[in-house]
Amino acid sequence: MKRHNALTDGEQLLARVLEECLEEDLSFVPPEREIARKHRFSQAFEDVMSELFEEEEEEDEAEEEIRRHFRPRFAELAAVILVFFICGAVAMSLSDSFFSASTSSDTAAAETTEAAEEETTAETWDMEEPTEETAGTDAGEENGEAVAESAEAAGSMAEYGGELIDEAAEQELASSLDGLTLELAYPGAEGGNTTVGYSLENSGEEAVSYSSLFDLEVYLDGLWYTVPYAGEETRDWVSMGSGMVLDGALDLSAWALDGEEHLYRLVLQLADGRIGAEFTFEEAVLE
Amino acid sequence: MFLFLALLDSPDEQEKFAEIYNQYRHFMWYVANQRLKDEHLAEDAVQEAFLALTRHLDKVEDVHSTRTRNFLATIVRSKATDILRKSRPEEELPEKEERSGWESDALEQYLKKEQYNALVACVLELDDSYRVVFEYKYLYRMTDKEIGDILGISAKNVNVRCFRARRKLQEMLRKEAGRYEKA
Repeated sequence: MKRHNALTDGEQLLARVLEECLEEDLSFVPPEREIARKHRFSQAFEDVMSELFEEEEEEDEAEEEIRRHFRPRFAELAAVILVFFICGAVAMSLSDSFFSASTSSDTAAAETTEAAEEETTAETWDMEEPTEETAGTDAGEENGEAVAESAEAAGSMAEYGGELIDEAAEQELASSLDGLTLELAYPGAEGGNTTVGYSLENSGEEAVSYSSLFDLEVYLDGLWYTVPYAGEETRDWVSMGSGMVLDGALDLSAWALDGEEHLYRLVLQLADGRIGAEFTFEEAVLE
Repeated sequence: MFLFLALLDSPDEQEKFAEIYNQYRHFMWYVANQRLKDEHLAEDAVQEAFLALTRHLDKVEDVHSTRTRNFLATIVRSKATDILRKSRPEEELPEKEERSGWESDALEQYLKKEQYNALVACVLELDDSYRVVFEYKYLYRMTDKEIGDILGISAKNVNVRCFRARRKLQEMLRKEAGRYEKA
């Protein structure tokens, strides 16, 4: 603090008293984290304050924009290469079947086509390892892999809410990765009867990117399964700066809940993996 | 609405400001809400406090120090007090110049070490609108112009408010002393 105009002895005493009184007043204030758990700033406040940091985040956003454009195109390129190989394989199979007039070859070709379609779809979503998927050059080998991966992609399924749902991509998930921690901050205390509160904190030293859309998974017969999302929100990537805390509420009505008591977990996709936080239906969702 | 960071000169200041925001925003809201008893008005006070802070960030040396926390508490309390004053305009007195009697300000004679406990009791009871002016002036050693900039009033009115605060504290100390004498 700047110093100016020397204080009299009396004023110095007053300054000491003021400091002591202020300390005493503030001694009753709970720690920042505890207040953050109990109070969520209004959307209007968050909007104004996010504008406040607009300039600082411009750089991060530019970086994110590059990543956002790069990833889909990389995936598209990988998908095109894969389709090229698969089409070649299909053409060869059809050619074989034409000349040999073998019905079994026809069946194999049809299976290969289906597998190829599934593979292409999977490749579009899997942006992390496109080169591994397209490494194979032998058409026959590619067909075999495609069929095998198609079968593997089907994984185990379970019945939930009258429908078959897929096994989750990962069974073991931590609640923290790359400094980003997901916690359910207000279990059962927020909003309507299908809303769960969450808290995201980036305690790392760098900004972390994550998907704006949560996944919901349910624990059935010892395995995690993905609950189908029926909402209209699209998956996008957002960035959270170092030291930032974000409290939010998620309406689970966008997922096809069966209303039974299960163990659930909210899952968040990060650039390098996924994090999740578990909750039970009766804890997190108001009846 | 505001591009607060644009008001800050250097990346260092912007980083410091962001650090303060991340570390103290809930604390500031809590302090404001204690005064206002209204969550939304408390958020308004926090916003106003951060706006004021952009102009006085040089007063903050160590973001994590107790002094910084206290300084932020003072700013947000003064903003909360402003909001309360605006919501009750009938109680707002005009800030006209009150220099008569300034020279005969007798507060100094009550500010003695022997009066320490009485002084603590009086400061704790002192109205926040006066107390924050004292804190800006004597605790953070800010000029009337700087205080006026935060409070949104002229330096002359800061002087007037400070005079009233001294007179009020003086009255309280006199009564407190009288109570001790009777006892």
